[in-house]
Amino acid sequence: MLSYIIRRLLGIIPLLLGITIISFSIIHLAPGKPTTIQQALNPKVSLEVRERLDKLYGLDKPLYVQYINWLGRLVKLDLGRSFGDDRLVVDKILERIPITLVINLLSLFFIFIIAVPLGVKSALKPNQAFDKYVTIFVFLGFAMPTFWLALLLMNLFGIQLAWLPISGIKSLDFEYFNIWGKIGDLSRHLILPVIVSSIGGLAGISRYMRSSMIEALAQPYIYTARAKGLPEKSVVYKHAFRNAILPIVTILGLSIPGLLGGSVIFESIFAIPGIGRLFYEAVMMRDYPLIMAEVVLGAVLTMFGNLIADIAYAYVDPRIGYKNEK
Amino acid sequence: MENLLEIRNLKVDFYLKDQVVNAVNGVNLDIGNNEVLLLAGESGSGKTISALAITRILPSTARIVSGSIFFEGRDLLALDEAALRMVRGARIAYIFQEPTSYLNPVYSIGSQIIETIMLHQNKNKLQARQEALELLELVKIKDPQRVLFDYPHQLSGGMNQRVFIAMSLACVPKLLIADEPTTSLDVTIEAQILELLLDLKKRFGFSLLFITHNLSIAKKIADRISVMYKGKIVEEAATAKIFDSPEHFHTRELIRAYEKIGKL
Repeated sequence: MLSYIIRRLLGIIPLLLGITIISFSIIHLAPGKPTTIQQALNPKVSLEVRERLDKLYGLDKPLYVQYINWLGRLVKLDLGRSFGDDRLVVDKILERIPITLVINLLSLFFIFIIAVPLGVKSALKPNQAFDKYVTIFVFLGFAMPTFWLALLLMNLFGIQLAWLPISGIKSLDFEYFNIWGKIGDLSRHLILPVIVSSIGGLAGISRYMRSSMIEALAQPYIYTARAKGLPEKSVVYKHAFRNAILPIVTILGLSIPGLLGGSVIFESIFAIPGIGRLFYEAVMMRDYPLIMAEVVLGAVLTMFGNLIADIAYAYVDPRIGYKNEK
Repeated sequence: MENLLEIRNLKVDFYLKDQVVNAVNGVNLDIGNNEVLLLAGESGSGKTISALAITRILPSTARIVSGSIFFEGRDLLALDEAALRMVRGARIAYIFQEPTSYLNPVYSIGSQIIETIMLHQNKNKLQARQEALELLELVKIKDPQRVLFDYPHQLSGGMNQRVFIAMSLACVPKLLIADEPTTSLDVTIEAQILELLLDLKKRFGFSLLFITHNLSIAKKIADRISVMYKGKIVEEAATAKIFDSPEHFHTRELIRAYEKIGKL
């Protein structure tokens, strides 16, 4: 197992090289350099100043030289400084991570504790009333644009009913609350974003769980379990469920990169200062170091997510082993 | 003498999306104590469904429409689920066609046998494990200590069928229903498994309902043969009589098929 993990980790290196080369090229293909954008905001900046800025940022060199320089710094774990405000990219990302992580972890948690039982219950009596209601909900959840749902919920709970704040993560008087007040205030701000970011996943996972469970319940070993005299509860929740949850484990692993990915759309709508908005701003400003740092972060997380999913799969499914690949 | 199992006029229908299909149409079947009854018939003749109907472990689309199933003097069709569960696995046990897919892939061999033992017998886990070990020895599995921790995919089909037999006999059933237990195995393994079944039958004294479409097995094991065709029992007699003077044309077909294979 250990040698398998090491081999997989080594495999990440060429993949990461490929990903960074492609994204580096694509970003530089996008029209406008950070310096032209800075210049556009201020007509007084002369061409000479612009060239000096280009030189300062190293933008005057050929693309491959820029890439190699960037890569050289990355190897030393130096992600550089933001073109926008000259702060360290690492700091800019780190300060945005907690809020995105909290929202995504909460969403993932709710998605799984709601979607899995929902899917199982649908699978036990497929095409009957409960399953049909869930199906309708799932299609709505899939089809509903996130931003529109967010606006509807903000209107209903934030304005009509005035139960919940509609944006941001803290009230203006946040600093005056005691610790419980602060937690309460944060939670109230997080309710709508978490709901909105859960809906899509909820719909998807409950469908996966349903079909996976229906499949498991039709397997021969289910007859065996019944023939043994096991109560239906054990047949379903021990013999079928353990098999049906396997594909879901993979999905869980694959959703790890999404945990830090953040969503541009709902972070913008709810004015949440998370990773998604940072990325969006970085792209608009052509803030190359910041963009590339987020790309690398996303790529590394995706590959780690895959690895974790594979390891978890081997753990829950005895048929999958990695030791025979010596 | 009272029979161990008496099935009378059993009818099973499948309720499909837009039609009802009759699978078993008025089956009568008797099995005496210690007897081996071979239920023969082509695929789709209703053998398996009749067998599953005995303890009501049918697919969800199937319904028992009418009939009675007397086992040890009780009508199983009159029992509720809870009472029937005490019969399943304890008094009536099954072995199936493809042992590897009928064992749960994600649980170890040991845990699947132990589960059956603990379900029907008042034993703690340690005692159950000890018994599982003895059962594996009984079905002549080499290195049972290791097999206890193995998973079905790590064993061959023949090994898994031995495991399955061990699991089914764990609670010393009175009736063992074997649904084509050797069809998926190769010929030498088939012979070994049949021999094992007969051995164990002598030892435990259960009755055997053996389902197959392959009459070549019949002479070796069966006391009597029932031939099933299109949901009905069309002929029933002692093994020798079936081979000497088959009456129904389907019986003759099955015998001819068996003789043809013998000539090859």
